[in-house]
Amino acid sequence: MRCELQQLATAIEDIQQRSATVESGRGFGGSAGLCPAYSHRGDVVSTGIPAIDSALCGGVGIGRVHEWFSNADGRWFPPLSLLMHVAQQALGSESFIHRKAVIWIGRRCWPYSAALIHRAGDCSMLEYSILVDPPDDASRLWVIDLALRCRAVAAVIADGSRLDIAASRRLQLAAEAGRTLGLLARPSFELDTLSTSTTRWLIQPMLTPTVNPRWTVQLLRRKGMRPLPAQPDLQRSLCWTLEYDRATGALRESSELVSRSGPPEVAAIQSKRISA
Amino acid sequence: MLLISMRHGVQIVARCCPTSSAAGVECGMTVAHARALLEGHDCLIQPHDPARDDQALHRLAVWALRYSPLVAPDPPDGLQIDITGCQRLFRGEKRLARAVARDIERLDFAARVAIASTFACAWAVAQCSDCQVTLIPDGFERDAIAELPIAALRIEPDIIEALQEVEVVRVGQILDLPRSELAARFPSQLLLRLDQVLGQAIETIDPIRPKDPPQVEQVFDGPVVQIEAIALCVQQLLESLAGVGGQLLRLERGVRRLDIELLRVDAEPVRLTLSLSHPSRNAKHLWSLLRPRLEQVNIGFGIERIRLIASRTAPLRHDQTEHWSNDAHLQHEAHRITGELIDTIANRLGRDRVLRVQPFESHLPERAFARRSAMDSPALPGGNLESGCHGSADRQTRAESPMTPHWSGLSPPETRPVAPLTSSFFPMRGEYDRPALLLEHAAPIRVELIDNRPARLTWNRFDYQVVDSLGPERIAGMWWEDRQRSVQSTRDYYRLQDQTGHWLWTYRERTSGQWFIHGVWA
Repeated sequence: MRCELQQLATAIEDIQQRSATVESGRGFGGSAGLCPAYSHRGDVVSTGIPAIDSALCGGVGIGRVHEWFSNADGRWFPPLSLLMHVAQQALGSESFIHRKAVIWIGRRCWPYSAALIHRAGDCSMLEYSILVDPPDDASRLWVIDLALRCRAVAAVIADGSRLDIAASRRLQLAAEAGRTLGLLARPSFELDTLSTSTTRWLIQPMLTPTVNPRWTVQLLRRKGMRPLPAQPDLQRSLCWTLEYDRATGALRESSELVSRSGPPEVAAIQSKRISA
Repeated sequence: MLLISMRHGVQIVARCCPTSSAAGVECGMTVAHARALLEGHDCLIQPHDPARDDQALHRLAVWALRYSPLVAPDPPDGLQIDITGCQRLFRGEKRLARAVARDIERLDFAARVAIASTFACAWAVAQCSDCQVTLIPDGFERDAIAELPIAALRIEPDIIEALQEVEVVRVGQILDLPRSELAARFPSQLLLRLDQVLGQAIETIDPIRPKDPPQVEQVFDGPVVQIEAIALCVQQLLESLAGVGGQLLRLERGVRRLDIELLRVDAEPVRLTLSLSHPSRNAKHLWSLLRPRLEQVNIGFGIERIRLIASRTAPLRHDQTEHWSNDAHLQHEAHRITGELIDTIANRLGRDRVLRVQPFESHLPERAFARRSAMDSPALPGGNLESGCHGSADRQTRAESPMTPHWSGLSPPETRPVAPLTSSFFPMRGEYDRPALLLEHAAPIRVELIDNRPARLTWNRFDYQVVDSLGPERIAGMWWEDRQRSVQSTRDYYRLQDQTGHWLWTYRERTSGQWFIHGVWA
């Protein structure tokens, strides 16, 4: 019985490795050939999660805008744990040695300051953070644009709700001009709006058997890279379960092998918005 | 503690602390003698730097401008303040003298204060009397100094020796001697000092004067109404103030606040004020901040004169042009650009819409951090322009605009006690599990309990099924705050997971039993 289980575990591991190889493009002549947008490692910020990095040719792109959609059934909560984690990774990356400012734009996207402090007592993220409270949508767009163009800013985390395609293009150009990491938090009912962002993500909380909060993170778009697979079973390989460790304050991939629920139904979320 | 200086190759005690004085150490004594007297004490010996003493005394004189506009430093350790007319503001000379003594004591200085109708008399009493505060009424100068030693007259040491030879040790004895004999036997300084004490000779002081802030001005031949001409003129003035060869460059200072005065024909002048988060000499940046404000000015019948005043400045070193940018230079550049970003946002949206967070000494989650305007907060860590790579050691100690009343080197700069980030008291230093999102105001919720554990909650008319819960974590209220009831009560915090997977941070007030939701692990 034990022997059979071990064989099954080995078989699953082989399948997973094969899947990761295909996704990262190594099976098709190397990642550089598939990812013309990211020609060298300095153009990306590693997410710190190897599975996600391999799906993105090394990490989230610098000089680009990334949209993070989160569930907004009753009330919208931006995925701040994940955004804080990415911003922290950006601060630690080699590309931002001299660019340390992190700008949080929009009152709804302001994190609780205690969460910005590492368990080890590292307050650098708190010290580098600047909070901006624009009074209206036009000012919000102007501030995001200005911050993205600033050469001293590492990451801009902003409330990206109610931004149209023109605004999205403007922000993308601003991020390219300033070589800044743009992270926009958006409610999930805006999934059907057009945008020019490089990547799109959907983050949904999930029930956990442990005390640690968990989220499913699904990659919905990756521009300039291999197109997303159309088959649902391959789509599942672009869905990860991340876990916030209450003891250490770190975000990591869940130790479970695969997401139990599979990728969330994007179409269902959009239809919910329409019915509302 | 001893401060020593070298005299003829011998180490001499220049200054000593009260403990040393009590042991018998005197200024002018050799260090070897002082060490012998202080045997058994831990003695700290440092070289004496008279220039630093003078600087500190000058700063104290600037601080004392709060009592009178005429203050003169009196080296090595005195201040002369002309309080004529100012006593009314303090409801009498007695209260003024006490206020001075009390305020200086708060700065950790020991001081003796004397008020008299002549500077010489006040100096003599303050230097030689034992009382902390002494008031000498008009006409009683002779009585006040009669019992004081002759050193109180500020005369040369050789005159003192000559007087001591004839057994004159008190001022009263000199006053009893015939004036003609004194003039014949002693230098004229003795009679001059006596006359100054008694008010028969004039004594003047050299008060410190505030330096005029750097300013530039343009006067037109006639009223100008074209906004383009005014804009061009302001740009040129900014260049001459902050640009290459400008006044600020020569002073090695940058603008923190710029006042713009536009003198209009037949109307009140328009005054604009520009505040900056970091000192800047970038004329282009200043113009980008000023232009939108200038375009909104009502010119009226025309403008006759434009004046730009850098009313608040801070030290800012020259930019060294380097062929290969090093790390320090890049870091300095990054902080300069960050400062300009903050200025630009604050100029358009308002200073209270650009914030930085600083920890605050409180256990309550909503009070553990204070948001302050980024315009007021210090610069990013390690990149403070005054103390950064381009700041020299003596510049770090120099405060902003030391000659203006804004100078606050000796007064506490913050009105609210904000703990530094390195403070040992920091309850939120990551030791506790805190949510990523904290609601601005805790929202009241309705919670159903089963077996004393939350089973269902209603928030904003939405029902949530509680599938898991952790807690309670008790946080004591601030019982001493009698104005805000919401912070008085002790809270029991619970971490609840709803049916969708969200972990919510809720608490129950122990006094009222009311439940609130306070945050979310989003």
